[in-house]
Amino acid sequence: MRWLALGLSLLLFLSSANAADLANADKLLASIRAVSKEGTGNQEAGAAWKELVSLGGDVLFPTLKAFDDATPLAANWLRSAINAIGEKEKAAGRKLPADKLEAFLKDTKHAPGGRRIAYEFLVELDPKTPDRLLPGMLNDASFENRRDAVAAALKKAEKLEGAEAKKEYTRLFDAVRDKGQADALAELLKKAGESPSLTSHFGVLTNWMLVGPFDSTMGTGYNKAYEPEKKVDLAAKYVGKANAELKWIPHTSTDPNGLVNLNKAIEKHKDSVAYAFTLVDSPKDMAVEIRFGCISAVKVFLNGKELFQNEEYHHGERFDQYLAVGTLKAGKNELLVKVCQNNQTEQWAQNWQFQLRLCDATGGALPVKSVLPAK
Amino acid sequence: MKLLLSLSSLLVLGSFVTAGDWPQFRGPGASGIGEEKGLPKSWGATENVKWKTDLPGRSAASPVVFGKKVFVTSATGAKLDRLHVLCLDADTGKILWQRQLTATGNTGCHPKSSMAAPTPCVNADGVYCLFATADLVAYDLDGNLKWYRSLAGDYPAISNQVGMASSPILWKDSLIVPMDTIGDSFLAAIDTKYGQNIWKVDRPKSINWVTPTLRTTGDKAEVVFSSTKDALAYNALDGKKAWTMANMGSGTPTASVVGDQVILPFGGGVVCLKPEGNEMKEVWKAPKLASGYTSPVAYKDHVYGISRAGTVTCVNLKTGKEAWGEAARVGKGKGQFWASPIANDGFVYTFDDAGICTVIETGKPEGVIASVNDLKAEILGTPAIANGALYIQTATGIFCIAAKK
Repeated sequence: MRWLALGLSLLLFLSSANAADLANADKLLASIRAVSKEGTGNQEAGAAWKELVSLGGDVLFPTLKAFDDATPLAANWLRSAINAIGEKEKAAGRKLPADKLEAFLKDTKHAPGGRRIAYEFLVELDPKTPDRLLPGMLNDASFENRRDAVAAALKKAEKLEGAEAKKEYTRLFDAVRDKGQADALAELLKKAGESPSLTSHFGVLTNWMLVGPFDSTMGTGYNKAYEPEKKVDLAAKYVGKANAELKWIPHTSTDPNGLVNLNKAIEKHKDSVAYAFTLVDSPKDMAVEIRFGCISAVKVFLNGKELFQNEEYHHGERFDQYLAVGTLKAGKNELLVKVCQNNQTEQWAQNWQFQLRLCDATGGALPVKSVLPAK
Repeated sequence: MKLLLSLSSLLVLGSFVTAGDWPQFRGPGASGIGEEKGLPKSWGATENVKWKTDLPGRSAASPVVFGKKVFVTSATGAKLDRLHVLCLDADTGKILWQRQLTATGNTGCHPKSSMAAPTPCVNADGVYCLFATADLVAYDLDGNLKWYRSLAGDYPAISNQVGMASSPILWKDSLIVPMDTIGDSFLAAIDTKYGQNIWKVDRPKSINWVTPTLRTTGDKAEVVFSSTKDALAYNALDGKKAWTMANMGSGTPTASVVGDQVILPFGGGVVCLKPEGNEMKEVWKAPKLASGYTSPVAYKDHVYGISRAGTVTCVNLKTGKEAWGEAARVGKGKGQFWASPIANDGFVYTFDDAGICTVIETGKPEGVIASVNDLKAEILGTPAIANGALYIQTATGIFCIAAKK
């Protein structure tokens, strides 16, 4: 009887200690989430981090949940804490609760970053986890979860043939967000007699109005706002480089990634600026990720507001090289891209070009229409 | 006398770095010189391999060693955005702890490189890791987070689509962070305790891959840091410019300090500088001491440089005259040379990206190859020498090379 009472007291103590820990965890996590620019809040967050980790496995889920409204800066503080907590639990011989981790993973209200960590813990606990869970994650908000799901399904699909294979590849193509996987699936579908469009799948914009070249001797055009930057008037004529008269010209890229090669579309020019303009019709106000690549200096404007600039020339270009986040308004939206070319003489520095797409946070095309601007 | 100088420099460099540690890019004071005895004369993918540990992903960084802990970085992910810091047991290669970050900066880079390209630095208070994404993190030696900064968040115009690789270094309680980029471009001293700026000075908007070097005089230190155009030095205490050597810049190699002299790579060669009043004067110039991507090593009475293709040149440290130059390409000439040469116990070690290490015996009138060792793995980072072993980080793993006892 005395043992029972003692046991109950201990249980009560532990449970109240646990509740106190959790309450404390909220304060500690708030300190961590408060970090901001140039190390502001680091001192408090560093102390909170250490105390949080000392609480061990009890605070794993509050810490995972804290990803939901964390900035990318704070999320990395949290990620390190979760690494440390996981190692601590493992060293103590305590298994992480698989059922709770799975429930967390399946709760899509949580941030993709936290859910991915939960998934990786589950894989560590049971190597068969991917077989069980990945089939349900083809449309996951986490890029990595979705990529793994597509990879696993692709492997299974290797055994399929004919109409079954085509049906499965089509299903996977609809879900895919990784460019390499999408390219591979597009090839498989082509071999199966289909005509998949990578362009529409990724929300790549292909229809533009172009104008240029404006002068950019010694790179001066990068910071000079020529008329199109102030107001786009597609009927306007401008004075360009060497006093040439410039007019907007329509251009449609036939490249699957929407590459606009300005050497071909305008002409090969050095020390120059060109503008590309298009209109996008959105059914409602919505968040947009503008993902693009450009081999030279570039600025991107949405509805007259500069969202991105990078003054880097000829250091490479790739799909989704840059990201600008903005908001599309319901109706027509003006998108302007400024591309600059410098005067490097190397053979590899002769192109000026860009490609651009509009997508959601997962990288999927938005329900918007690219509309050729009327002159 | 040289040893005394070297030891006194070490005491000033890092708060608690001791002889035998390899605390930063190219080891103590960026010298590239180890103080170990009994390193194996030969090795291979299995021969004299004390341990080998796989890394989670690709790395072009170098390992650093503090006591019995080895620290390495690596990057994974389809978007190259998963950044890893690992602490390994120096004797067994066992992973003691591992932390991850998600990149907050751009992940563009040359295919040869990685987001784990800058080398960490370490002292008794912590290990400090900069990634090519401008993510900067400090852990204590047990893996507790001291602080983390997203420099790309703080300074959004940071950009280098070829991929950054310059490494931070430590001076007292300051972490000196090089960030020469095409956009936001700066050199900063960040306090090691809480990760806040002590000073930050603008730099030319141009990319480079140079790691700064400290030149210490008593309690003071200068940060020697080249741009592609000029070589400059800044007071480590406040970031004020100490001296400039116009048109003596370089894009990649790192300077060495011998006594009060600076062995400075520039253009296609090397210049030796010494202080005169508040200025630096040229002692000698060795235009043929080409270093390409690597940094020359000043060892005993000579300076050794290796070109991208593997030609080793050796000049006299006092005069800059070629001791033996235009030597035959070292090794089997399979790969290019990205890792800097290092020296220890009478030998200079060179590493190509095919995994071949050619060991050159020093103190001879000509370049004498002592051994050629093929690890059969891509080597990009400069190996570390500590604990009687060579720690060779390959693109995807790390080998501990030590003689069997």
